Amino acid sequence: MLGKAAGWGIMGRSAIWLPRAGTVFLFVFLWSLLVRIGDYPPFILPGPERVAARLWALAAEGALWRHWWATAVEVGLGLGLGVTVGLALAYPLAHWRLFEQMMTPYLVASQAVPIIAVAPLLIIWFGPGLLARVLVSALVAFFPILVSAIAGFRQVPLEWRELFRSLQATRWQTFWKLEWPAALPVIFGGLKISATLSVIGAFVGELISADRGIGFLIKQGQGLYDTPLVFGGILLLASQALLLYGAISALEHRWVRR
Amino acid sequence: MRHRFLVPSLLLVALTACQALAGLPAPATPTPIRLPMGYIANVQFAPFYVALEKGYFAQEGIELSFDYSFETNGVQLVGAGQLPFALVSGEQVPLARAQGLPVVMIAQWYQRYPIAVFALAEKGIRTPPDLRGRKVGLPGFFGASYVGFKALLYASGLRDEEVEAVDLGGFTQVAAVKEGKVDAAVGYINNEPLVLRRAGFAVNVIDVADHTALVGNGILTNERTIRDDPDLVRRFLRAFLRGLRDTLRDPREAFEISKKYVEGLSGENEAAQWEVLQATLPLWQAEMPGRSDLRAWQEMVNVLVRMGQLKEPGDIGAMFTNAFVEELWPLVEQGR
Amino acid sequence: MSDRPILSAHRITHLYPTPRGEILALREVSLTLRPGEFVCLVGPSGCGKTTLLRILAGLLLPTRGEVWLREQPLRGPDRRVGIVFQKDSLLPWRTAMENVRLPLELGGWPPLEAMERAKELLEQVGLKGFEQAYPQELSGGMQRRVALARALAADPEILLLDEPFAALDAITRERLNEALVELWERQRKTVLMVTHDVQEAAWLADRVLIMSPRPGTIVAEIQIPFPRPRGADRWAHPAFLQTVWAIRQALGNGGG
Repeated sequence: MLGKAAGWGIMGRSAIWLPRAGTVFLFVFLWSLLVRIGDYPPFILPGPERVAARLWALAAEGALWRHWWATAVEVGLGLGLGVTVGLALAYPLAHWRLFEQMMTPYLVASQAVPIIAVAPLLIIWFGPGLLARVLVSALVAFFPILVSAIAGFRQVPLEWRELFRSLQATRWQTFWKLEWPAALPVIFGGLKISATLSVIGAFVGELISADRGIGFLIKQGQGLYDTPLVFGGILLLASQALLLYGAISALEHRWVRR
Repeated sequence: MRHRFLVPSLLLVALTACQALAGLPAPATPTPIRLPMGYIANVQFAPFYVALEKGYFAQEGIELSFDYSFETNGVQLVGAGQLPFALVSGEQVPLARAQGLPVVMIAQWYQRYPIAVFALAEKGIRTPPDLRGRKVGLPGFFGASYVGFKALLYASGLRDEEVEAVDLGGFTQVAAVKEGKVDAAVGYINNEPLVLRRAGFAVNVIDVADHTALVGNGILTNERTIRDDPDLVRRFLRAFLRGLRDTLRDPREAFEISKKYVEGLSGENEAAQWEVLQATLPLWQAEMPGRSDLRAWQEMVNVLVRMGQLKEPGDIGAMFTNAFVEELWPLVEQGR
Repeated sequence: MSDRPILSAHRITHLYPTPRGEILALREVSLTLRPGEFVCLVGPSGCGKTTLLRILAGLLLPTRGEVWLREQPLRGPDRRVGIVFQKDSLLPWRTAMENVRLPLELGGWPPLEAMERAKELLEQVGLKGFEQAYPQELSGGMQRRVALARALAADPEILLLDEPFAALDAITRERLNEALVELWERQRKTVLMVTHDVQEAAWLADRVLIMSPRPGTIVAEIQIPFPRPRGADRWAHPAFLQTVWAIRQALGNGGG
C-alpha cells in the first residue's frame, strides 16, 4: 500500500504538472496572439509581456509583496472568521428545525444583499480599517461553508447514528467522532467555494477603502488608466485564490478518506 | 473596434453631401450621442438640460442621452473611440494621456476647480496650515477630491505626511464629519458643505481654487473625432454653450427646466437644490466660459507629478484645445 | 449455565406511522434468551425481524410491551447489548483497527489498552496484518469480520446479529459462520442472530424461533438437539436434515 502511494506521487507529479504547465503556456500564447492580431493599445488590452513588466516594476519598488500580503492577511482572517461562524451556525441549524426555520430567511437574505452596497456601510460602522475589510470577506465566505456543513451533518447515515447510539456515545463524542469526520468531505467542497469567495470579499473591501492591498492596486490602476496594472492585480488575486485552493485540496487529501 | 467611428462619420459625410444638394437646414437622421456624465442626475448639469429642452441639440442634428456612470468609464470609452464625448474632471486628461488614451478637453466648463476642504466650525480649521496634524476624510484616494486636496497641501507648503488622509470608502464625508470620525473632509464646494449647513451646522470651508489654479470639469473628446469629424464637435459644443449661456442668464428658468430631468428638485428639497445651483454658477462664470488656461494645466500637471500619479508632465499643449470655444462663444454670446 | 433469562421480550407490539396510516409491524412478540445460548430468528423478509432486533437493542421503543435485560426493563441502548447491523456500518475514515477501537474509545478506555485489545480482536477474527487497512481496501467478508470484532470490543453479554453475512457469497459466508461459531464457543456470549437461511439456522443455533409474515409474531420454536461441534459431516446425519425440514415446515405454515 505504501509502495503504491509512493509510486503515485512520482507518477502524479509529472502527470499533473506537465499538462498544467501546458495550459498556462497555451493561455499566455493565445492572449499574446489576440493582442498582436487585434493590435489593441495597452489601455484596452495589454499583452502578457506588458503586464509582466508592470508587475516586475511593482516588485522592484518593493510594493508588490506589501500589497499581496495585505490582501492575504484580509483573506486569511476573513475566511477564518467566515468558516468559524459558518460551522458554528451549521450544527444547530442542521439539528434543530425550529432554529433553522427562524434563521433561514435571514441567512438567505444576507446573501441576496449586494456586497458592494453593504461594504461602504460596514466601513462607516466599523471604521476604515482592517476589521471592516475582514468583515466584508467573512460575509461572502461564510455562506457556502454554512450550507455545505448543514448538508454534511444531515447526511450522516442512520446506521452510523444507531451504532453510536447503541454504544451510548455522548453528544460531544457523536459530534467529534462521527458527525464531523462524516461531514468533512462535503464541508471541504464548501470550503473551496468559500476560499475563492473570500478573496473576492477582501478585494471588494479594498475597493471601498484601503491604502494597500491588491484591490487598492486595481483601483489605482483604474483611476490612472493603467490597464496593465489592473491586469496584474487580477493575476495577483488569481494567485491567492489558486494558492488557497491548492492548500485546501492538500488538506482534503490528507484528512478525507471517502 | 477602432473603426467603429469611421462608418458613422462616413455616413455623416454622405448625409451632409445629400443635404447640401437638397438644401435642408438639418440632417434628416439625427446623430445619437450618449454622454457619460460622471455623476448622478443633478441640478449641476442644468446647461445640458436647458440645451436639450430648448431643442439646441436637436437643431444641431444630435439626439442626446445621458449616462450617469463613473468618470473613469467615460474617459476610457472616449479614449477607446467607443463614444465621442464625456464629462470629466481636468486631472483625468493628463492621467489618461500618460497611458496612451488619445483624449482632449474641448471646453473647460468649470472655470474654478470645485473642490473644497470643509470642517465643523468648532474644529477651528480656517486656513490650510490649520490642517496640520488633522485627520481629513476623502471619498477615496483618486479623482478630483484627491488631486484637489493634495494641490491645496502643496500650494500651502504642507507635506504629505503632515496631514492624515483617511479613505472613507465612498461619498460619506458629511456623515464622517458630523460624527467626528474625521476633523475635516474633502468634497465639492457646491455640495457637501451646503448639506452640512442646511443641517444646522456652522461650517468652515477652504476653497481649493482660492489657493491654486487647477482644471475643473469639462467636455472631453478624442483626437480622432477632432480630426475626422470637427463638425460634430462644433455642433455638440455650440448646443452646450447655448445651454450654458441661458443658464447663466436665467438660472431660475434653468432650475425649472432641470426639474424634468432630476428627481427631487421640487418639494422639500427645492430650496436646498436651488442653493446648489446658485453656488455652482460662480464656478462656471468667466469672460469666455469654457476656455482653458495653460497655466492651470501646468499647475495641475506639476501637482500630479509631485503626487506620483504622473511620471512626467507629458505634452501639455495636446491635452486641451481652445480653438472650438474661441470660435463658437462670441457667436453664441451674440445670441446666435 | 443458569436458566434465568438474560434478555426477554414481553408481548411486544409495534406500529409504524406512515403517511397512509399506521402499519402493524410486530404483534405480541414474546421471547426469552438464556445466558450462553445461540438463538436464530428465522422469518420471511419484511416480517419485522430487524424492527424486533432494534427494539431488543434499545434503539427503538416498542409501541406496547417491554424488554427486560436481566432483572431490569430496558429503556434505551445498553453496553451489555452489542449489535451488528445488516448494512455495512464501518466508518470509512478509520482503519480496521480504529473501527474496532471505537467502542473502547467511547467507553473511555486508555488508548494503549484499547489498541492492544483491538489488535487482539482483529487477530481473533482472522485479520492479523490488516490493522492499518481502511474498510474500502478490504473485501466484503473482511469488512464483516471487522464489524464483528467491533461488536465484541465492548465485551457485551448479548450479541444481536442482523443478517450479518447476508450480502456475501456462499463460501465466504460459510467461513464467517465457522469463525462466528468458534468465537461463540470460546467466549460463550448470548447470541441472537436474524437470518432467512434455514440451513444456516439449523447449523448454528441451539434454538430456532420462526416468525410469521407481517405483522410479525413468533409462530414456532424448534430445539436443535444436534451435538456440537457440528462439522461439515452434519449433512450426512438424517437428524440434521429432519430439523431443516421441520423449520421449513414451520415457516411454510406461518406463511400460510
